[in-house]
Amino acid sequence: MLFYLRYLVASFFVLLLEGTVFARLALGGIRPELSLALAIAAGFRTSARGGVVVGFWIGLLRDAADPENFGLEMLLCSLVGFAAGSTSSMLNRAHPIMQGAVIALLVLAHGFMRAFLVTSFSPVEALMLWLRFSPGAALYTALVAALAMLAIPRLWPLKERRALS
Amino acid sequence: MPRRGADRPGLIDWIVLAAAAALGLAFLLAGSGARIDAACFLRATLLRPYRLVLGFHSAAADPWKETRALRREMAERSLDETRLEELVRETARLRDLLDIRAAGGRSLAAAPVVGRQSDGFGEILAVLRPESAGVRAGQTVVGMRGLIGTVLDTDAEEVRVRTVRNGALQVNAMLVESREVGLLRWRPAERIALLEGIPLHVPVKEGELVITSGYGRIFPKGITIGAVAAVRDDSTSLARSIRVRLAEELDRTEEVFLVLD
Repeated sequence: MLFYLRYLVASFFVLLLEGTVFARLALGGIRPELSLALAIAAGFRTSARGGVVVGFWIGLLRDAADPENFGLEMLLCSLVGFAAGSTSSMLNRAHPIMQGAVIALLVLAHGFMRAFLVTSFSPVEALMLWLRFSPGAALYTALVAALAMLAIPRLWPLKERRALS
Repeated sequence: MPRRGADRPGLIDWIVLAAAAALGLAFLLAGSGARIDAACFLRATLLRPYRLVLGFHSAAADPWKETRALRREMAERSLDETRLEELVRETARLRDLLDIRAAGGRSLAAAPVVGRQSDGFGEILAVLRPESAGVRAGQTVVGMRGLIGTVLDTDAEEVRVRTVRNGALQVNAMLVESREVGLLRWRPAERIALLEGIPLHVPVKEGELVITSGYGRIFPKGITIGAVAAVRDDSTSLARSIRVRLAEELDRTEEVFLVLD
């Protein structure tokens, strides 16, 4: 329970950061997807189930900002959280570069799925949309998330797995 | 050895994923109204603290920018207001002009007022010469509400108009109800317009309309000059002196119309 409570608080904090600090640090209209990175980190540091639950919650909050596609982020963030949790058993999850790489790849995957769904499965439009935003957002997110993970470990050690069990 | 993460996903993990995905898909496939309602509900409940903090941040982040934006908006609104007022005035003027055309059936040439002068007898207006119209001395000039005067002289650019507030101009005027004709003249010393030559036996009411009589063929008949303001009976004379309140507000006239032949 404490695990979810911690992510609940973190999700609000991250959304605030996205809406305030990182809204001003956008590069060419590209912002880091910190809330998505949090869902990925939750899955990566705990389990697939933890990733799905946190991803669903963050998707719910993200969907509130986009009523036209309400439900889309719930679906995609859950999938991304699950994917992060599923791959974490095969990787060194304590390594910041590994975490950054997984975050970058999953942000790219999220962007790709989103582009396809938003453009109603039009391949050309989806590809253009994806190329326009996702690579930049993935790099930016991975960089910020890796730095955050380097700074945070003392405050947020890898104990979630025990907390969940 | 790399530190190992969680175990591979089990059945429960897949069930949780399926439930989350199904819920997301259900919302996604629901009607637009339901999606918007759900999003609004979330904003009003779960995201309320977030929006409060975000709103505070936006307001406090750059007060100078906010103030500048508000000032600019105020200035723009003020300009818009002035523009609107000007449009209202212009519309009223155009309506009056249409009334003049409809009532008189005369052909008019508009000329904006560009200056005010005075000679020894009173007021002279300088107006821009209308491009297409033929202008000559003695031509009648009217305003929105009534008679302005006659053309005194003209050059290539300007026309000088001697107004009814000039003692050198005499107008043959008629009382509308009694049909009596007299001579209207401006008294510069007293700054009043007097209608003279109306016999004492003719009943005159305050407010009675005074128009041009058409006598002498200087002014066309039926142009409003003003209304009776006061009646003075002089015991030494056989005629009345009638003070006329001019219909045209000459101090505020911005545009006049030359009556074309």
